[in-house]
Amino acid sequence: MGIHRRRFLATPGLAALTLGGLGCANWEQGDHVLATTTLVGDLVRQLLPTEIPVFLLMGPGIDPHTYEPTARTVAHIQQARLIVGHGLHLEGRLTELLEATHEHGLRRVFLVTRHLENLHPNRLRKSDGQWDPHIWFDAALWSDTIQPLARTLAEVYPRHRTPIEEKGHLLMSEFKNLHREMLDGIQSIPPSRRILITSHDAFGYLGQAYGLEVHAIQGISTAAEVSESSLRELANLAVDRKVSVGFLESTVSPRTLEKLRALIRARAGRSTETSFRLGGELFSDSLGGVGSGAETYQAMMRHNLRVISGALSHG
Amino acid sequence: MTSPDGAVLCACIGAGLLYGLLGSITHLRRQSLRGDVLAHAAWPGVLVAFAITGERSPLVLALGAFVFSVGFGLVITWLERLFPRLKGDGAPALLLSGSFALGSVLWSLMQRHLEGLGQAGLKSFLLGQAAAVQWLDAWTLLGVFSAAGLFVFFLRRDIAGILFDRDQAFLLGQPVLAVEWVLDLLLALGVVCGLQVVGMVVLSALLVALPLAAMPHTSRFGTFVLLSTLLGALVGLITPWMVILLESTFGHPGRGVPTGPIFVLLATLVAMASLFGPRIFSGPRTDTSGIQP
Amino acid sequence: MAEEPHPLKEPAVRLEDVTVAYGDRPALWDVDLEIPKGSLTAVVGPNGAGKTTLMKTMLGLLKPATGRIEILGKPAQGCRGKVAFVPQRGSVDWDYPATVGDLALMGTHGSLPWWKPLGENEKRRARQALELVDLANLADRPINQLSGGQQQRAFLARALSQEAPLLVLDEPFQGIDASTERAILDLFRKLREKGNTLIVVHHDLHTVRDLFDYCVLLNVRVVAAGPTESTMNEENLRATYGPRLGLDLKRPGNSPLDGMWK
Repeated sequence: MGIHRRRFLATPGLAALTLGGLGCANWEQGDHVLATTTLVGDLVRQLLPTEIPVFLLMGPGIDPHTYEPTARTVAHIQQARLIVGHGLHLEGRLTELLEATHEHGLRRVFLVTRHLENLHPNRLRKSDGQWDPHIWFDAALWSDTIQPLARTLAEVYPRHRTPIEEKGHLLMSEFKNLHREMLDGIQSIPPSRRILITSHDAFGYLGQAYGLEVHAIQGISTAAEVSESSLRELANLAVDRKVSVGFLESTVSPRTLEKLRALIRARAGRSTETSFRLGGELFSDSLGGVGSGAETYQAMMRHNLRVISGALSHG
Repeated sequence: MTSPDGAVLCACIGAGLLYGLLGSITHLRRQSLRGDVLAHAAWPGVLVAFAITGERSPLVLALGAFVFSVGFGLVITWLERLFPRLKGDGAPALLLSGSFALGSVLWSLMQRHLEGLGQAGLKSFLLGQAAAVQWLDAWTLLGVFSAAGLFVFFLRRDIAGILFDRDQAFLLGQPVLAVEWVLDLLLALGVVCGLQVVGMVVLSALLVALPLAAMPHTSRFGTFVLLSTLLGALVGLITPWMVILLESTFGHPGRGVPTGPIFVLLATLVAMASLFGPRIFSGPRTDTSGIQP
Repeated sequence: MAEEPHPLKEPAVRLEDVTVAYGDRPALWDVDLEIPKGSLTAVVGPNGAGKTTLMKTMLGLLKPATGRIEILGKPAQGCRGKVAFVPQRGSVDWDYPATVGDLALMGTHGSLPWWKPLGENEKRRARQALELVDLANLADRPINQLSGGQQQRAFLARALSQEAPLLVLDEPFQGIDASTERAILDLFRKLREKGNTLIVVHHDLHTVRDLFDYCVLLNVRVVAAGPTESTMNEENLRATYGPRLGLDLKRPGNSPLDGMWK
């Protein structure tokens, strides 16, 4: 129980404070950063020096679209010095709580996508009338969130301004390299095979940035109702375009994909040419846990690239 | 307009048949609320099964649901035996909210670790995820219905006697306890099988609405059960078509119309029409009971 | 008056030392009772005296804490088919999909295993039972449309279709109009003439003497049991009901059914 702690340790004093805070509804503010998702938390951790602990509200594998804030959530928010969230309504109901916290001046809240939403909305993708929040799949776009975040972190922890800013530059160039890696990787897949089918529409930016055609059973939120007709359309598409692989996601139940597979099999008959399989698990709304090989953003992106190019290239 | 997916259609018909049948029996036992408890109790069952095994497999979760449903059913029976003053709805009402609340607490505690189950899991538990239903689900429902149907058919005399006057049934030598046991079991089984398809809220509603739809039309036991079952099948048949109709009129791509609630609404409509229909068409009855001294 | 039953015949019902308790509240205490065959027996007592409990225990529906019960010479459990029970009307929810004919037929259900369909024999018995209670013309009437008297007669029909030698009835005259009461009493007389035994929980003290040849005065314990003439005296009644009973039993002609048996 308790919130998910990052791997490096806090100083003993902070640890005691945290444990005390976890034990009861203690509203004393600590010195740590509270991040909502693993992705945001990873970004913050990579920017901050190790002395400053980063705590997570949602552990690996938790679906942020349907996260329900509880009384404990509020307590965690109260205990943090800074709260960093994603925004663009990724965190579902939690978003409202964060915004209320910020508006009432209770705690400092920073949403990493706010800058993009306000200044560069044209780079954001819209799906079904709503912003698609999964921007981290475009490494260049994710890289653009670094500077405003680094600035905020430097303001909150002024003693660490210099190392934060330096780390910021470092990360930006790392992400740039990653971006090129992704591009090369995806482009090396034969063009006719560059079709990605997943449970929910998380990979729109991946498709946009690196040249993949992306289709999903559910829309951008896992809370939406699955429509039978969209399942059927997707099955037809898969059969027509000879797509042989669909990808599971770590945060979504495989039922809808299994149904898709059943529909495709029914439509295509038993010819091996059009057999459809579920080809590996992608990390969509979350990083992986310890030992998964996807504990950081870079690792996660590379993992996804390996899985996707491996499955699609070899059919 | 396209036609519904075969598996979904059969599953809905199967659910309608099953809950029409089980609902009619449950209604005559005056235990409709008990059916509700069994459905709600499945929720903590699913969570505990998941917590213990870490498995998302439908079989494991269904087993957990079944164990908890049967367990809560036994608690109701035990409470009623221990406290005869808990009449009628007392014991089930007590356990109804409690069983679901237990699940909610468990879920809250487990939220951090509910990989892949999440709240999408809760929603699909409550309202089903009909679009993802496969032939296996449909066959399971139809299979349970067949078993239940055969049981009710072959033992219809005993069941009718036991449900009307339990004491008399004992005296006549009818196998009261055995029959009641099997009926309880069938109800729990039926609940668990339908959860994936139509969800808890829906099957609770069906168990109540379908027999009420049949009630005004007959005064024979056999006809009542049959009518309730057939009305269930009818509603099950119409529901997927209705969903497609609504989707093509109001839906966007990627956003579906939920099947579960449509199922309930149609069943409720049929029940209302049954109850009020005769009154509308033939006017108020002047002689309400045909009483003769 | 009716003739007294032969004392040496095997009793229809024998209870020895029977005690029944609900939790720690005694409903029947130390009951020793013998009810003769071929009698028309009344069981009377105040509310809460355990009359219904006594009936249910005799039928094997309740297990006594102590004691032995014999019905027609055999223990209570082995008497399926030999005892028919007519419960109080309120013991059942009449809002149930069945017709009067269905109800009468229910009495025959015990005599067939589940795989055998109901045959002509069963239907005949049900038909005859309905005729005996004068409900034959209402065979298709749904039971939720019956008056109180009709409900009572329907229950009777169910019991009669069993063709059992012992009938136990729990307050069959409760809330019934006079003509139905007369009809039912007539029926009791006929049954008794055929050699059946009837045990009736009766609520109206005034009429016990005129209708029943044997009676049991019950108040958790058996206060007295025996032929009505000798048993229903003031002393016993006071012991059963308490001192407040203002019943004048000495004067004949109190009952509207006076002269019925003559």
